[in-house]
Amino acid sequence: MLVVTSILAAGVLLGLVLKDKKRFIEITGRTAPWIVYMLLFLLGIVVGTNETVTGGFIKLGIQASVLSAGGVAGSVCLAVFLHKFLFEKGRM
Amino acid sequence: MKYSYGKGSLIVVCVFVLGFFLGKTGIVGDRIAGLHPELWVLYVLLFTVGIGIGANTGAFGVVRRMHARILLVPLAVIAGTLLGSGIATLFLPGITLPQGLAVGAGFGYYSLSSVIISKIEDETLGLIALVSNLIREIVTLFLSGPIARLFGPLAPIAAGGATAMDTSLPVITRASGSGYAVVAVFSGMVLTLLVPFIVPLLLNL
Repeated sequence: MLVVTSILAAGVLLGLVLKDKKRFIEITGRTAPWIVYMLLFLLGIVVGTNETVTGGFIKLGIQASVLSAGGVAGSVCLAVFLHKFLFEKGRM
Repeated sequence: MKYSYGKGSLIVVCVFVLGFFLGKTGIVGDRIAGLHPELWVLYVLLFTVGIGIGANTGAFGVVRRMHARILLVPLAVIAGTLLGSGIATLFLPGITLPQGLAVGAGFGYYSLSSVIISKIEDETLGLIALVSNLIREIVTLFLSGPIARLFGPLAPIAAGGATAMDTSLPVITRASGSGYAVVAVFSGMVLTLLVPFIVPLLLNL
């Protein structure tokens, strides 16, 4: 966790320092999707070589779907609540 | 998925499936997987995400313009997501409450949350986080219209979670109206910033 946070913090600092270097920021933003594709490709390899994972793929899919359904439903419920009591009455 | 639009999630699924089969058939081999190259790529990603955040501090001016009420939107998304994920975990015997909450706390930011979870917990839960958060993004991309009609303009922003600031912003704006774009960007940004902190925190509960 410390490594993750430190790297992120280092990036934020660099971003703050270089925020006027538009070209640099633009290039960084453009490389991001490619880094994500690379990351997911490698994650695919790691997951594919893992016997426990490949054995229970359908079970994992169901667990993932139930969790996302819960997360989406829960947040949408509170959003409805928030909209009703704070954002309505022409204030938005 | 951050930084790109709709077709990004399709590409992500393809590259992941390609990697998965390369790994499963043994073409790439355990030796490469054992070196965990994905961790190094994650660090590069985190670094570029950080640069993006640092260079974009102007976006925080939104808070001043919108009044403090806007702060309640990401808070409601966090509370609702964790509540919903917690309840969902009750139906999943193989998953503990901290694990279920950590998966939910990806808020749709699947690339980051799945790798953090793989690193701290294990690859199985990392994969669940990947699929679960990817589903969240895809649901938002495809169902924002009906969600806004049924549950109001804040609902697609909530469903989008961290992706509301970029990937799902165009569909949310179309579904909720352009007045809500600022709210979506703000909420998505707060959640994006919190993912690398909340996920490890919940796993350590």
